[in-house]
Amino acid sequence: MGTTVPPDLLPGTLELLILKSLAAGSHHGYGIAQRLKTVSDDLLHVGESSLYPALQRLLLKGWVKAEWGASENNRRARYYRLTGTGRKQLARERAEFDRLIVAIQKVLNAT
Amino acid sequence: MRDFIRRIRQLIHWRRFDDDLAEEMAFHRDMAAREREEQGIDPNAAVRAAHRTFGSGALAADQARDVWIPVGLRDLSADVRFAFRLMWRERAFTATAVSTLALAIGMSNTVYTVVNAMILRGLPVAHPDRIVMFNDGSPNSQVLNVSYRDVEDWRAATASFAEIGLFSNTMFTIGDEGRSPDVVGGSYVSTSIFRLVEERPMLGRDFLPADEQAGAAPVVILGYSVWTSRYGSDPSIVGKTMRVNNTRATIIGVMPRGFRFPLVDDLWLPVSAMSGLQRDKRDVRQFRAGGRLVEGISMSHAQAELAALTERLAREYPATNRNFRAAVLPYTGTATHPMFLSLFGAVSCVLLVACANVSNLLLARSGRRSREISVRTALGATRWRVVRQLLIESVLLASIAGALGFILSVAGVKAFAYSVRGINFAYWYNERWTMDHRVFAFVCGVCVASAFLFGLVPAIHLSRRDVHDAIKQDARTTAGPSHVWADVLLVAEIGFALMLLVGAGLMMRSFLAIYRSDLTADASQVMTVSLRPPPAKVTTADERLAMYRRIEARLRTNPALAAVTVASAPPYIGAPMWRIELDRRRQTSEDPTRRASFVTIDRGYFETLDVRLVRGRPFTDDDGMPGHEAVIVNQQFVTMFFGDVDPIGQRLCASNPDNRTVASLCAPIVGVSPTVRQQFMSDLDPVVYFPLRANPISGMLLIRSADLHSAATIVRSEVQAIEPDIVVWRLMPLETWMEQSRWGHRVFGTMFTVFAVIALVLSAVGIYAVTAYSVVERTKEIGIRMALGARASRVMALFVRRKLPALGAGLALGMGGAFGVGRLVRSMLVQTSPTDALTLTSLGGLLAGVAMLAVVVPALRASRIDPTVALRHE
Repeated sequence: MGTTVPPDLLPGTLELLILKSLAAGSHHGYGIAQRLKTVSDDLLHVGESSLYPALQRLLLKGWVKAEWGASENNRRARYYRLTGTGRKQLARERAEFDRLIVAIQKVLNAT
Repeated sequence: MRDFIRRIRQLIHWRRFDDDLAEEMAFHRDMAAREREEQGIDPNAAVRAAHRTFGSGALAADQARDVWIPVGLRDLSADVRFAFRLMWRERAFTATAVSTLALAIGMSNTVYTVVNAMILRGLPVAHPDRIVMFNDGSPNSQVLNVSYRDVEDWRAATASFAEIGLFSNTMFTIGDEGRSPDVVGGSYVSTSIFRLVEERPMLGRDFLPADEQAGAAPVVILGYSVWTSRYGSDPSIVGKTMRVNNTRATIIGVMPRGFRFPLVDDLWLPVSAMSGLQRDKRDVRQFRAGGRLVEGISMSHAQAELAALTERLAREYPATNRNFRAAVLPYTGTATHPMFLSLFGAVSCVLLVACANVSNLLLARSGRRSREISVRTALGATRWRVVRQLLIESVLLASIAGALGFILSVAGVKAFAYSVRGINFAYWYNERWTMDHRVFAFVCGVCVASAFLFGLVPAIHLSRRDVHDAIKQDARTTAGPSHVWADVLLVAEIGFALMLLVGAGLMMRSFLAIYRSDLTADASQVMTVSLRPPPAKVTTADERLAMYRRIEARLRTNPALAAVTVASAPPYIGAPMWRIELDRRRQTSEDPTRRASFVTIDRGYFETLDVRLVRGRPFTDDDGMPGHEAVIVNQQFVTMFFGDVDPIGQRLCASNPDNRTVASLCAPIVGVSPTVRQQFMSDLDPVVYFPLRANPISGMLLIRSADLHSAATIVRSEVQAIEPDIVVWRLMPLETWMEQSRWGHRVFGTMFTVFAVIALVLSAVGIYAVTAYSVVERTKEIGIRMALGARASRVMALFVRRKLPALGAGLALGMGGAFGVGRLVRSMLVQTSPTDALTLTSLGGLLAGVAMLAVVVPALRASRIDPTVALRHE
């Protein structure tokens, strides 16, 4: 069984993951969750109750935009798309995250 | 900031937000279910599983929503919506509370608007709070006469004042060749007068110190109204000349529109142009003075410095300065100042009564609310949350009341403006009964403050109730601690109402005293006329006397004029106060400070006013000639100076305390007149009437005629016929002067009374409501009592007795407060003691009666309850 996001995820990580998954192209909420699941080899199960508030936070920040469109099975679905500032934010957070991971590993590897 | 804009945009499309989110989540769930289905799971189980994984949809939606709206705000809007629903459900309660408050807030705002316009906004000059005037330091004095030397001393020896200016208000005749002369009000001023208020002419130049020197070329500065009305706003006026009195002066400047400092001036000349100017005599006090404080210097500091200086001067120059003292008072601190402030106090009392009232209603209702609150508490609401909910309800009530009150106050201000129309205020008051940001802030402040004032006690009381008790038992049968609070509020309500009533009663008594005393003379058919001879032509006292006699003689032949006379000052408009000394051999007590209004009158004065002398005789044409000295005094004078001794034949001497160069006048008393009011507003109004001949200073004609309108035309043409170059002006009914002098008591007395009556009604309504409510609350109990055989009278007594201690305490405290009120309004009282027993007892009785009625009526209803109905009452 995979990890359900977010118990104990570092704050902001879910947003980072969503941004990253949208970098490949716009998608609806379900698609984002699916993408995160498959890409993480079924490790990350994003709880929908954290996904939608997170998406709203991203909307509020202006990093994503939402538009209604038709889904693959021709139903109305809300598609999220990365904005310019969102893309910049992704790059910034990514660098930040890398540094943090390195730092954490250093701490863990210290004797 | 960008976040904020997005938030707002989102909130505008709020309805769509929920739908969108719901649709999006439904889509998510469907997709998840379908996926499971594809994996071969039973469709129903798949849906259930999808739902399970999704978690609480409602919670997710809430959290998504919380991203956009802060939690506190959402709770707040829920509270507000709930409060609105509650208000709507209890419409009768809401209407009572809102109208009570709206009335009080409306009145407060009316008074505040007026006070703001008259006092708070102050002079329309750069530093209004630093402009001061001088008085003699006695409590009600507004005026101090100073000499040129006094001000020179002050300038030299004080550091508190950035500028000191002096002025002498007068009337100028202005004229040019080929145009009829005008009379305008203006002042002889020191050249510093405009720098004092940091104002400059809009055209031309300010006065220079050289203009004030002896022998300086005559110059004049015009007021805006003279410039526009007489010179048609001529832009090239500066440098031209005009005739002012009998000199030709160069116009050097024009002051901006609306500027009429220091009094109500339209023309200014330097003191050097003043005939009879005494620069060196310390005891010729021809001027009044004002000053501007140095920045950062307080009024009390300046006061202390000035007091020390006048003290020193009194020691150095005992002959002239022994009794001369000066004090600083704010320029806008005019006679009406305490009036407005006490009005403000009165209206605050009304507001407090209204708040106590609403508070009491809320408390009475709290029985009904307590179960709801207990449920909230049981469900986990914190005490703060409950109090907040209740306070929000109060603020909402107050806000609605405030909005209504604001509308009311617009009408109130209109009514005030109407009631004082035609009254001559100091120039900076006029036409400024407008509301500004300060008034708006005041209204908002009052709403919030009153909401807390009336809402806090019930809120704390309700939130404190024990959850278990309230849920378990029928809260309506107990007389809990809410009744203690209700009694406290009742006491406050009655106390404030009584204070207001007494204040209003004292004001009304003064007002009636003035009106009654003004009936002594018959002013209805009398008019005043001012005469302005060309100054060059009439210079000596004899010439002036001859002029008046010529005009009187001519007018007396006209049958349309019933009586004609001359007086230095007609009744009601004031007169200089002269020092009075009685013949020393008979004087009972030596008191050099005793003064009386000094008036000179001609033959026929009392007939013109339709006044009969109480004793003695009126003046004849010979009176005032050497060897024929005579003086008439009024009854007030007799009471003050003679007591029971017969004054006829006694000698008195009157002297001008501000100008020792004027010879004092001594004469035997030949007559006693009734007390015709001379001063504006005075408790004691002693007057000495000397014959015109004894001191022919300039005066006014008094004319009695059944038709004042045609009399005005007759006077104009008759005077023109014999004295073509005399300016005839200020033809005014004596009643207008009278009204000018007593409008304050009329307007303020009426306002006080309106407030007091409203406070009385409000407290009666409050007491009634609270008693009636407790009757409803205890219906079941009453039913039981009556079923067990209690008599109707006992049931009634049950309610009446409960309220008696509160009523008694309220009346007692109110009486105490009423003494304070009396002291506060003392300066405005005329012929009325601030502790007037009749006022206190009758109004106390009135309030007690009304309060008792408000208790007895609902109690009576309780005693008529049918026990069978009552027991079924839920």
